[in-house]
Amino acid sequence: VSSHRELMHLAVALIATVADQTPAQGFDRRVIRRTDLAAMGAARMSDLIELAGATRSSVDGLTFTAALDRLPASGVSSPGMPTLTVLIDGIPIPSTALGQTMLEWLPVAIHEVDSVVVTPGPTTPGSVLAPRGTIAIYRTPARRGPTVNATLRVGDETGDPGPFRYTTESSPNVEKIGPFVDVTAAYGGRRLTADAGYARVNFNAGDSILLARFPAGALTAEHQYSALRSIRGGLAWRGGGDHRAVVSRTTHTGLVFVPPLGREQPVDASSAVVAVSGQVTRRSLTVAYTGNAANLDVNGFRSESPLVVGHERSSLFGSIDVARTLSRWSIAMGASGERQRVRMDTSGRDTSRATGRIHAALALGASTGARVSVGVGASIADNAAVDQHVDVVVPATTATTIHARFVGMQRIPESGAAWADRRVLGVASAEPPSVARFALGAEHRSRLRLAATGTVDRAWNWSVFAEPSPYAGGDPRDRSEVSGTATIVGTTLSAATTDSSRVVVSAFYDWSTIVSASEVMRDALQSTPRQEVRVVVRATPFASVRFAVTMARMSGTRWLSVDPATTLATTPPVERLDLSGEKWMWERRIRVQAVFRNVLNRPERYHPLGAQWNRRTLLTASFTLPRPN
Amino acid sequence: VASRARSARLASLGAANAVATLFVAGATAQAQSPEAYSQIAVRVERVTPVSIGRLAPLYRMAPGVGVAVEVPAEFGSVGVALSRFSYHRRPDGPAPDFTADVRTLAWRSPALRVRRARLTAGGKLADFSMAFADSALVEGLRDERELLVAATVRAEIAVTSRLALSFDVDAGRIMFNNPVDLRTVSAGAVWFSRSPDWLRRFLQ
Repeated sequence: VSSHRELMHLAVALIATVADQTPAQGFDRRVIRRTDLAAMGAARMSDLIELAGATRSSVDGLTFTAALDRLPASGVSSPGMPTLTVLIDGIPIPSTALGQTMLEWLPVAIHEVDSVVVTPGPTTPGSVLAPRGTIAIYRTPARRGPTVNATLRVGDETGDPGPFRYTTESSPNVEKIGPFVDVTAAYGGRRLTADAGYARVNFNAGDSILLARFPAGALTAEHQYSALRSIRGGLAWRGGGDHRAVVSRTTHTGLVFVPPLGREQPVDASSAVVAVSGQVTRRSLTVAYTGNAANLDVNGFRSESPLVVGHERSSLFGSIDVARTLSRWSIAMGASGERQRVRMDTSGRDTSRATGRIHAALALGASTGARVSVGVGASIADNAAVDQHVDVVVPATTATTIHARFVGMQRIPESGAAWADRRVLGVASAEPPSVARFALGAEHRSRLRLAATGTVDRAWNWSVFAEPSPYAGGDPRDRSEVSGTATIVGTTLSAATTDSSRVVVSAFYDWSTIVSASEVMRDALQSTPRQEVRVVVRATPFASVRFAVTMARMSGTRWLSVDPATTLATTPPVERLDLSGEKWMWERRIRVQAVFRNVLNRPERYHPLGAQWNRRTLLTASFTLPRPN
Repeated sequence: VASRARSARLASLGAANAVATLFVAGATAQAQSPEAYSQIAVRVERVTPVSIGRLAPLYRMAPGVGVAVEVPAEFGSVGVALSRFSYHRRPDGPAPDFTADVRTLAWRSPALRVRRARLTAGGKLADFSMAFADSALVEGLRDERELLVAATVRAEIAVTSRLALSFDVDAGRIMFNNPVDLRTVSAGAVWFSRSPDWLRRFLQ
């Protein structure tokens, strides 16, 4: 009987999992707090991409293609390659389409974000396979009683022609940024919390580099004035555990750059997401679940281009994870499944597929002491894939911790977005890629937080475009793809003073170099900046006033995926000085902020085909009731 | 033209020097400044252009009027202002007339007091909003906005405890693609009042 009981315990233990297998400490993760977001003047969800230290490219400054690791982003990498994963309160939310990272479509507004945890390399949060890292967004928990927030932001880029437009010194008009409007209402009860929000983003892409690519008169106001409208709602309740649900619907009209095509497409898109998550804990057993249903309907409109990206895609995702802690051991297991469907506007033909993943992990050690965690997973999609990770945490002193981590993912199946993009763009599937990362780092926490991490990244079978996208003529879908291998060594250094002082200084430096790579990968990797440094000084001289200075430098890039006959296929190093001043009024119910970006007016471009940004201003006014804590 | 440009350069250099001197001197005078948000100052002024930089061959700028509201802050004072100017085209100029509404956010150093005079210096950020009298353009394209950044020096001479005369010298730059330097002098009257309690609480 005793052995049967033990077997029963073992069986229960084997169907257990931890919600997040990655180490709890900072290590190679970056944490962005609400204060960081406010002080740098984050106005839209896409501003997170810059703060996350992601390599990013943008043609219009509104939509971004981002990569958290050091591998080439979409447009240089072919459409089937993995992209970064976005989680909101632990729920994976589809956020990539046509190669773009569409954070504006997420069911969360920037002022609702409490913190963001960025894992820059391959990781497996719960049952989700994230080969290119995660941006995990955590929303601010609702306060008891009703709360209302309304935020308005307007901005402008300097460099307009003014009266010189009537002279030979005329120059094109430049971007109008905003208005961005966010309104949120919430009610927090003892067990139930509900919130609802509306967001509007307007953006006038008027840069001459961008407009010069179109025949005169081809672009209408609808093309140039991008408009996003979003409504969202959320519910959270405590009862037999913690459970939450979010829902959102977003419409987006305007010119959207499609990186795999290397050109813009006028689109009228609507996106809808419903997502749920929760966990129930009974003694040492925790059961966690997540699920989402997403739909994206993209329509081309008034397009001069022969290409058609009009389609509808939908996905259904669900996961269950179970974890059990036994003394110093914890054991975890989980499973997830996803079903995707794509219907092309041109043919009306439906294509669908189903994928699944199971995983298990074992951890030994106390959360504050030495700890070892080992996990394996297997994915079943178009091909069978495996992944594994080993984490070791060793406290060297009371303030210093040494970390080591290995993550390997072999024959990574196409993500839902990559699979759908391939079908829409009519590109055949490539051999599945593999990635591995080894990281070794140390972290010291006292009045100063110091972290140093060295990494070795390797990618096999990574598929990139073999030749530039023909902008002027030809069909970009005819480009061939080539697979390659690369090994990249890098280091990340960060330092920050404690948040409690009046002056807070934080610094971040990231450097990498290609150790070995096939020729095609070596060329493709030139599109990724090899160095980035960022220093932020935040000062609060008076209780209701805060200033911030941000200095950043990112090395230049070269894009062999861009047709050099059309434009220079390089971007210069970005050297930016940003200033921000904030003032709170009416016992912090009202916040006003002035942000100046690129004060030195240095060339700022994130894509060879993209706009060049001048010095620009952003003014924010935010009203919150009742008074924030 | 060269001598005018030289005097404009000297004027801006002088304004910058004065700003720096007054900033340092004003910082030592902070202890004498009124409590933050305890006072409100309303100013009406006439603004006269000294130099309009690269716009001079195209336009003649007429004197404008401005209204400003200022309050002492935790350090120095802050204020908002609205002023309006008219730019009239030169007889042979290619560009049409335009009206500029300038919405300004200003900060000034704590005052340096010399007998009845108070000297301050500071900086201004403004939205230089233009409306062109160009009927050939559709309505939305007749307006254009640009950032104006300026350094400013002010002398105030108290007439009574509540009334003062003020004289400003401003040196600014409109951040067009071809930046335009703008230098103005202003003269006006300021009326001081104690801030109502609700306003003080609001601003704190």
